Amino acid sequence: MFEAINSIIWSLQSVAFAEPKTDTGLETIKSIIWLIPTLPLAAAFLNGFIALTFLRSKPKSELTATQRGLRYLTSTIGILAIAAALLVSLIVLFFLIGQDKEHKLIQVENIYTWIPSGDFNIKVGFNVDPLTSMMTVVVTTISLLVHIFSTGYMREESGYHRFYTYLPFFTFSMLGLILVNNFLLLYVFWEAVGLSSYLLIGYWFSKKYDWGRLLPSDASKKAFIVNRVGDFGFGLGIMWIFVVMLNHAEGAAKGFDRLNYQNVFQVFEEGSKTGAIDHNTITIIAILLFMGAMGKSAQMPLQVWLPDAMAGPTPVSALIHAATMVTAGVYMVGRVNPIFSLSPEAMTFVAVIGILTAFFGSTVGTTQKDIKAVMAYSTVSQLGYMFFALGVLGWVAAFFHLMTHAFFKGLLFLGCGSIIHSNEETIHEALHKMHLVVKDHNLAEEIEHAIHHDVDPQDMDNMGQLIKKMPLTGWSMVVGAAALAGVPFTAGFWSKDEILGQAFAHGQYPIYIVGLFAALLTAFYSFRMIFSVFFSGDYRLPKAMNRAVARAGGVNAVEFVAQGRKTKPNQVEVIAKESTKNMTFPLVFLGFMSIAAGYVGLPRSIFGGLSVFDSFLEATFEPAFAQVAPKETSAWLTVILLILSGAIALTGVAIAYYMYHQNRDVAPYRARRIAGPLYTISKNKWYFDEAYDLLLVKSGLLFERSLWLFDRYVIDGAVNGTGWVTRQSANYLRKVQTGFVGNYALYITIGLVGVIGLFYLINGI
Amino acid sequence: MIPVSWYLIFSAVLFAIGLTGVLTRRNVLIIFMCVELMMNAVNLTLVAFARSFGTVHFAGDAFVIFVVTVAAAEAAVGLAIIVSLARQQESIDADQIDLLKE
Amino acid sequence: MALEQLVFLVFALLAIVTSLGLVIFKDPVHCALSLVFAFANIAGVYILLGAEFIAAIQVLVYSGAILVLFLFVMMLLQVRPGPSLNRLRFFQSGFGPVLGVAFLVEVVLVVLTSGFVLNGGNITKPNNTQAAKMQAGVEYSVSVNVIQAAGPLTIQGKADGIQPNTVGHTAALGKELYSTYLFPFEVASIILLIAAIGAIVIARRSLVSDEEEDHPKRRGISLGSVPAQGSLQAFEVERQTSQSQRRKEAKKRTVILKK
Repeated sequence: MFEAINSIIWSLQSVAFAEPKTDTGLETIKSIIWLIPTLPLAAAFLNGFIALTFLRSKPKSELTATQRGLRYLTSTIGILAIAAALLVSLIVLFFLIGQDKEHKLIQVENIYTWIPSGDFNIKVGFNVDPLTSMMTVVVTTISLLVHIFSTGYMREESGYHRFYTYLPFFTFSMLGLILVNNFLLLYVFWEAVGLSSYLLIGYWFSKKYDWGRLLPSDASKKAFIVNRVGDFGFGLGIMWIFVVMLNHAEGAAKGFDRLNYQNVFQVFEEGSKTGAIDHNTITIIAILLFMGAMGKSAQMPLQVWLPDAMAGPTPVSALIHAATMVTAGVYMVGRVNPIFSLSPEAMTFVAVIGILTAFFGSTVGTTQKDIKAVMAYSTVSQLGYMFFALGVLGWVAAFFHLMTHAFFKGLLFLGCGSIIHSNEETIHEALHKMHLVVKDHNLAEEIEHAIHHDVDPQDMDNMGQLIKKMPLTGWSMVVGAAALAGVPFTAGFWSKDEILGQAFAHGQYPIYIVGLFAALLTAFYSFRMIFSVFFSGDYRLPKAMNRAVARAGGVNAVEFVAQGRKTKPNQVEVIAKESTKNMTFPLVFLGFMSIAAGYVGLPRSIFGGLSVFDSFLEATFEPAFAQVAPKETSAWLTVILLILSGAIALTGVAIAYYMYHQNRDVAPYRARRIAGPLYTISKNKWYFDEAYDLLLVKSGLLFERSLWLFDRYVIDGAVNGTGWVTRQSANYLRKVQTGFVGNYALYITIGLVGVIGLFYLINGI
Repeated sequence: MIPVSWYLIFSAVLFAIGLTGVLTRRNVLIIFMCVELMMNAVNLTLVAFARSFGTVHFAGDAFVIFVVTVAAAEAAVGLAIIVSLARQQESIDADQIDLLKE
Repeated sequence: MALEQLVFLVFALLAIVTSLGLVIFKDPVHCALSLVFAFANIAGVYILLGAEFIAAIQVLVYSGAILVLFLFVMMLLQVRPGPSLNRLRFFQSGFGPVLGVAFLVEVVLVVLTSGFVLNGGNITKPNNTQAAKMQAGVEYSVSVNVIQAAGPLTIQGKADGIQPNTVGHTAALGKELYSTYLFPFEVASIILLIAAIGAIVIARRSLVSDEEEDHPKRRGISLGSVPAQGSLQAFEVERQTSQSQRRKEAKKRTVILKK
């Protein structure tokens, strides 16, 4: 360790005193990469310090003016740090774009030797290539927008500063995950994003009621535990890689990092070529690694945590559970493509899991009532798309979709956040006025309880006609939903079509057909949401509140709001209002990106050199392409496929329009009549949670009961017996402790002389 | 030419004398001085070994420097403890202080 | 016997005799002075080892600083001999020297049976061939020890053709300390700082000391001699009286035991 720290000190000195270098380009880039993860980390520490020292978790109303200032300082620090990280990421990205193909890999090696221990050497370093660079830009962009959005969304929260401590910490972990150059560090950051996800899902850990959804405290635990299952496999995979490296990297120099990406890839490639590494070993390692991706990216059968993770604040859902963290699994498979591509079996496994998940997510998404649940299953489904794209060897297509998905899904979630925020404010305002009007304390309590319990601000049944009140949110969400549905000429259209095209090009027709069907469902459920929230019928929230109040025996809730705003009761429709600018700006920006992002990766067979995304990312997947060359459909076929998928998307939109634009109350019954039991299955999310409960929890409890008996009589007996023996013997032994230092020295000396003497007695002189 | 063993035996003698002092004396100050003597004996072996293993590396010498540093720190803190002990217990006799028992 | 060995023996014997003085003398001041001599002699042995810098440190830090600190503390504290409460005192005083000798015998056995003696294990002295082996730009090299460099006492120096080195032990050690051991070196400085702060905190007088209480001015201000109940002052006083009482009781107990 001393050496490492010494080397850091020396390098700092050499930086400070070195003469300016002539080849500035690469060296400068190398010297600024560390800023990308470090800036958010610094922000997290600073905010954590401010939060713990000055603010604690006092409600906003109890804070002094200075403390309020500090509160806003935390968000400002967060935003500035992420913006700076975004700037650095962009510099690196443009530098990489400017390099030719052979020089698109920047390795910043050996910043610091973390574990120098015999054969086990872990060196901290960065591995920056087109994939990394693209991911850092996406992550920092979405993170920045979410940071800005949250200044509005979390405005009234007493844990505002806590939120702004976790959020940069998450960004740091995610950027670390992307940038590191070795498997162990990948695992470390993999867990770090899990931790920040846990903290943010459980942000409202004290919530006692969440309209029948899983409580945030339970949801966070569920997310963490389900991820453990996947990470178990991931950890085993990494250990196995280490074992293989130990056996196959003979003659390695001292301090050889056996888990460094490039080293591992090299050894695996050579080992597989010469047959030194068994093919089955590679397959098993790839599948074990993929288990980690299944947990983190919510693939079947580990998808159960993601919908419940929506218990966190909505900006968190947008950032972590839609745009970035859940794509870590996709990123990991892409990063480890040299190993995955060696095993066609593992790739088939990935493809099958992916297509199953895509299908599952899209079916469940069609029937959910909760707007965030629709989005959550949509995310599960879209992640499935990315994985089957990887599985059919459409490497670049998967990451193209990852990028566009980050934009439009981030947009949709933030839009949901905007709506939910507006609903919550309306409810809050109604309650506030109600307390002013209703003098009877008990009645007021009862009304408040009724509204809190019965009026769910996330329920799509409580929305409708919002497009007139929230035009910015509404129209940007329409753009986002169009991108999700794959309506022609949006970003989602290009990226989804590229995935389907890759499936077609590689001859995976069954997967292509299922993917197309899932795309139909996707278009349907996304526009089902749009029509019921923004266009159909009327705004239902006031009615729902009135019903709740009526049940509690109170007066008209709408009147309270109306009184508060000095309007007459019959003008209540103004109560839903557009969110503030700091919330709508990210929406509009993302809306723009949801269309523009598609035009960097136009189909190559038609547009040729215009497809900059493909040619940029190719460098990363060179090893995979060396195994199986990339395939493309011919220009005409591409056009046909484009038209087909565009038509499918528009069909889905049309069905949604037909069912939900006018008669949305009838629609569920109609759907149930058509689909029969399928509707019930979809509504209950294919009974995954119930099956797990029966298989794992119930039987686990039974097993646990028997263990408890064993524990009670055998273990406790042994433990208590030990205590009894100790106690009895201590009665005598404690007399040895006299309290005089000299006596202890005497004992030590006798022991010392005795041990050396014993050595001579045994070994002879 | 002096064999290493001479140095080692010499320092062993010093160490044993210090050890005896620690065990037999009652005055805390003198016990402390005996500990310093033992530490010196150890320093001597460090330098002797460093010389016998070659002359290019100075691990032993550097170690001695650190031991001396720590000894100085220890002397400062230790004497401060003795002073506060004398003030509180009115004695610096190791045989009258049995606070460790409590 | 070579002159070098003779010098070593003189230093060693003097060091042993004076450190025995440390154990035997009654008056702590005599003990301390005896230890100063022992340290000085050990410094001489360091010079024989070619470690002039450490020898200097030995004299400066040990004989100079640490022991003077000891003498100051002795001056501050008056030792009143009291009865021993330690029931193992007899064992300690009687058995201690035996243990010391036993330990010595064992360690000497270790030294004699280990490879150091069997391999002839001599102190390596730098010579030209060794210096040539070292990397280009020979900077590291222990100087030939002072006695040899001084000239008249040289016994082997001329035969080996050793030139007095331009870079001595101090320079080489310094180089090492500021390169390989840079970090531990910085840590050591922090340790010293902490120790200095710690010593001040520990040895600081308590809030109300005896002298302050006796101070006439203070006495004039304070209302009555009994401190208020529950104050820090009262707590101090109570604790001190209870402690001295306990000690007196303990003394009585031992007296009874002796009878």
